[in-house]
Amino acid sequence: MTAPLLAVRDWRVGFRAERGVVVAVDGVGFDLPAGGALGVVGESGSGKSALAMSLLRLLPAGGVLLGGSARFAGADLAAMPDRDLRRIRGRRIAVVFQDPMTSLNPYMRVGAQVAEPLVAHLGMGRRAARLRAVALLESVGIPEPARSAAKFPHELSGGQRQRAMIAMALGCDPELLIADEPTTALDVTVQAQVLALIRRERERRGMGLILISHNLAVVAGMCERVAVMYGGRMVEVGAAQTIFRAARHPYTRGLIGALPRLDDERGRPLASIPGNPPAAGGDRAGCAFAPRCPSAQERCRVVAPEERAAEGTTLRCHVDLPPMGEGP
Amino acid sequence: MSDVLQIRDLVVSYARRGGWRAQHVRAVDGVSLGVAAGECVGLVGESGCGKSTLARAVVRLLPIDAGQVLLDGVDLAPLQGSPLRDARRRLQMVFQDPYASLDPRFTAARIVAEPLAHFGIARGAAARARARELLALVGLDPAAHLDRYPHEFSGGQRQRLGLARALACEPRVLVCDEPVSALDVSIQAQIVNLLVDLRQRLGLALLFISHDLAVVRKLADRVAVMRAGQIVEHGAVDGLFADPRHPYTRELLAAVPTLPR
Repeated sequence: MTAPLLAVRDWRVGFRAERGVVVAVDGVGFDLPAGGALGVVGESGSGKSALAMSLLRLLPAGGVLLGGSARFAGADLAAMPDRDLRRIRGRRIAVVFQDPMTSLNPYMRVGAQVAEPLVAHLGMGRRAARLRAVALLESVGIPEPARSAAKFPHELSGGQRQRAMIAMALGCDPELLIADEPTTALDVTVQAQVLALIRRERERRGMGLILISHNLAVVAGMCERVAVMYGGRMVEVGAAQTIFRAARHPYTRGLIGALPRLDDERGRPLASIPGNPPAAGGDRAGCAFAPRCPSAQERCRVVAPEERAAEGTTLRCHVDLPPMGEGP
Repeated sequence: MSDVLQIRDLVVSYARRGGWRAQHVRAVDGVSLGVAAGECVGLVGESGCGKSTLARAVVRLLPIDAGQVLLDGVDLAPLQGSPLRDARRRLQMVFQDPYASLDPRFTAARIVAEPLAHFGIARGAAARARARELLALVGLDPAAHLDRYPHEFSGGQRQRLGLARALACEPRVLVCDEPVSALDVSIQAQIVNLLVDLRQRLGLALLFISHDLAVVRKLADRVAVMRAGQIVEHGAVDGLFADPRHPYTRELLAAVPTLPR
């Protein structure tokens, strides 16, 4: 087997707070093969965004990497000097954020922003980079690309801004794209277009993808592997098909049941999960989901479950549930 | 006529500043829609289609340019002062953002009791007793929550509190503007189930506004699809979702991401 594009081990991220450091990501590990797509699903406070941002050391103020390694093509992103990381960030690993309005520079024309990494990373001349930027804007489906390149971000619609972000991210032909809720701020029809664009570009370029989303259904259509995060941990990881058809973790099943669908029985109540997701870093013994878990046993409240393999998925849970659709 | 709420040819416009003269943009452009007693009508559309403007105009938080909003047959559009206040007692609103729509300086008890005082329903100990009932009705724990402030509540709990406030004066119609959009999936399911339950127990009529078609399908009896200020298609939920007629409705439905079966 070839080495993975990205191998993350025991990744821990925290945020400085008044009373010490609050742990947001608590020992996450996964492998992403070259060209593979991993969807990371979780609710607010699950640590999914902290995970995405910390991989490229882009944590907001107060964020600290507490430990672990992330080997990208063999080199550890956590340990390398800033200078080396800058050569990877934006070039070999690109990022698309949720809100294109706050991640684009409002004072800079769109074309110039798309051209910037081409000059910085690939050493292209300004003229060549401008021309290439227009071609990139065209390839992501922005109408009248030459005219749009001369506009400022606020003159574009939300969907077009996100397309411009994607054009910028793809400019240096990255091996990995990290997309953090890239369509959450968009309307459903625009979301479908932007997802189709990411899917198409991924296939065309053989690019790896880490897609962070709160929406299981978005991830289902985009990624072959899915990781479900809860309380800073990946509680279940597996092939998308297996996760959605035969989830083993009570939280994963709860999430699937809580999602209203266009094809379920209308009159049936949604399978809501009682209680609230935990705030990041709450001091707790045992499994973070235990207080909300319908299947929790005594040991769940005392001992944190270790990762174990269970019929196609990797699982952090003490309980062996019957197959989906039979019992709880 | 059994419609408790009837919207007729409603027009709401905004003045767009700048340029040589003020331009008027019709955010709601001649919408007619009825909600029968105890019925839930879903209004779906994308951002900018005018659905929130419509909601706010219906409860008279925005001025109405033309058309009628009939509550039990009485047009709210020309009402001012105490007749409008009376009408609002029967027509309440739940907002999207449970963080922005609750006064951070008020305890839960005061938030819920305020409409009781405003409408002269109850004060003092009676209001507090009623606040207890209301918190219990929306699934909060009166003993633990009555004297807490909004910042001490989670998003889902705040939305429950917003519902308790809206229900305080026993309205006949609840206008809900994206009430579950800001919530996590597991919490969204709790609030959707609560709304289904409250509707049945209280015989409430709901005008439920959302961009999320799957949520609307779960709650509504009928749906109206809004685009650019107008309703392009409406009908019973089952029919409209199974056999959409308008190309825009089809596009919307096709765009919804789905889980594999």
